[in-house]
Amino acid sequence: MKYQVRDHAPLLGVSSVLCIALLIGARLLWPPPPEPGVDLADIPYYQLPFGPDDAGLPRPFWPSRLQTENGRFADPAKIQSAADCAICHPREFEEWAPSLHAIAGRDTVYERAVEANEDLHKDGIEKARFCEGCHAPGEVLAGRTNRFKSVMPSDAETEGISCVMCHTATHADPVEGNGALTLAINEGTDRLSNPLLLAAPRDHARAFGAKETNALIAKGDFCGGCHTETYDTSMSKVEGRQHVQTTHAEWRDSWYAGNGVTCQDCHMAPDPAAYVRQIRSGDLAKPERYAHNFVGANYLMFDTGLGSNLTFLRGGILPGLSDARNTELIARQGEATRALLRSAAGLALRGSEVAPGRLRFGIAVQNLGAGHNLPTGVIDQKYMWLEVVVRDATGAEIYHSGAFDATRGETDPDAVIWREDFIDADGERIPDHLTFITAAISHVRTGVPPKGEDVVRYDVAVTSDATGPFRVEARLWYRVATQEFAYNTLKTDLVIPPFELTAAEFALPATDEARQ
Amino acid sequence: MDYRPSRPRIGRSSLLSIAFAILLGTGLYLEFLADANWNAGEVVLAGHVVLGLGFTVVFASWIGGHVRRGLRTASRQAFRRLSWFLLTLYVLLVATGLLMVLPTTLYLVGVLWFWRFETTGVLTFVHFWGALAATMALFAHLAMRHWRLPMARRGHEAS
Repeated sequence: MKYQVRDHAPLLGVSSVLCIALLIGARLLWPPPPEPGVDLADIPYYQLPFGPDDAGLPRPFWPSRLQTENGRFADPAKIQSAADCAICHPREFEEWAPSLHAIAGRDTVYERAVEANEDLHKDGIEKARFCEGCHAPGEVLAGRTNRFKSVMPSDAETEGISCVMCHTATHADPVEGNGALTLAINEGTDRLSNPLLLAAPRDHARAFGAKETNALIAKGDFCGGCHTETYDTSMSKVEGRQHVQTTHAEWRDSWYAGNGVTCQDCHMAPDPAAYVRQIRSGDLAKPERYAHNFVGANYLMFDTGLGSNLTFLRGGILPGLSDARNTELIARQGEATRALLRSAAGLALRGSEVAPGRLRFGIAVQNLGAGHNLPTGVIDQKYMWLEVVVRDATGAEIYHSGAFDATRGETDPDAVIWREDFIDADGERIPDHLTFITAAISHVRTGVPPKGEDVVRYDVAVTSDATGPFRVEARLWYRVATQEFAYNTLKTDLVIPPFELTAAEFALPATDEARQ
Repeated sequence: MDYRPSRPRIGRSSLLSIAFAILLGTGLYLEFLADANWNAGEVVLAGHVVLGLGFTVVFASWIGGHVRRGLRTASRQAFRRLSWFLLTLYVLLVATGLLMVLPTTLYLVGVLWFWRFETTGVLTFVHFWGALAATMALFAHLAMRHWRLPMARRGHEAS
């Protein structure tokens, strides 16, 4: 035998034994942590007014369908804050920070609406788990949506839909909705310190990038966990189940879902409006990357012209951001939001006729770029309307529908409007989003489906002194809240400005091409 | 034929053998067992990194002389090939290890940079399989005859 073997083999053998001893010692000295999360019994005074489920098990987050993977509450001190994630993922943080997801649980419009609802019922705060499950999941999962606050707050709970609320998801039910997501949030913690995490990121991937999670959060069905909303007796006076938000179903049944275009493709594209134009041109290639801006339709929350009112509306500034940087990011996302809105709709003239004393025409409101109805979401506050002005040859206005009173913030009550109404038990419209007393939902006009159009017919009387050719000016407006809501709930006289989605002008009599 | 230093001693090659065995053991632990308990895993990982860096320093100071001596004495072609293969594996192991701790080093000096996760996956894969291959190659290197048999004996063995 070579002397090298004789010399080294014992060394290798002894070292191996020593190594095994060290490893066993390490396991004994540093035992595994206890099961993560907090037991229901350890949250003092936690209220369960909705009783157990069909199997007799407690439903601690009901009426939200939110759940944790291990069935335990989240420890607020352990929920990873987005500001922590920003240490290594600053680009993603700065994309997400101005988004509505980031302020979902803190923006004043939402907060005041929840408070108004909570005051309507003795179990109002617990009923508000329905709202908070999607808007502030950290609050709900930590047990803070409770009349007695016995759990300490944390940064992560003020961050709305933060990084971990998606990146720990293990299940979503887009049909059930109402926050029907299961989050492995208790397991979603880094077990290594930052320096060692950088050397061995595998555990970080376990916590926040499991294969199943990555696959789930890339699907439109994941978004449906919250973007499907129904009312039932747990949180309203509706008998049975009434759909309030059907955004996921609108997409699921659309050309977009059929062609593999997901929510993420448009709303997480680096330039969503450009991506929508790309899709409209027939190019279905996926975006080059997915940004975390979640650009949507709420232009108000990005209107930097509102100055300090905007900070008020957004509920302050997120942890990890300076005022100046916050404003800069908001302004940038505002441009993307407005561009996306402008890419969504179109107007066309349909079936025009100039008859003695009458002008008859149709205006087609077209959904050209949205993969869901236009408007979508809970549209008792958000609404869309059509403004039509007809002028004669002299430019004199002979008809006007859908005017907006910018002083009082009111839309022409006779306008053609796309909105859903919350109706109370007495059959009266509820103008300020009081879910807990809503007994029924009705639609003034349902949203325009993806790649569809809704033709609005006008029959205008023309006086004998008005001569043609006539001009029809059409504008499609969108507004994110009613003025009643601003007065009643926000307690502010701030006029909620509308946004012009698109505008068009048509001549009457129409050209042959336009006369269809 | 025997070839060995004039007097037995615990030299750098012995230290490297000890370190290699411990690195292999801790590496296997990190690969297969650490997920269940990162409390202990973190300590093991820190030890693996520190020992790996120490191994790199000692290895770098020792390997040059060893190769020079080996080239003089190792006359057998198969042994030479195996040795170069082993050296390649060691270089691969050290390089992938250093690349994996590069983000950590930068973090400790205040610079935040890290590999794409997929890149770390490739580095880990190469590091792990390189270590297993190096283990086998090391045993072969230690055990394999590196000198040519005398012609007469070769002829005798061939007949």
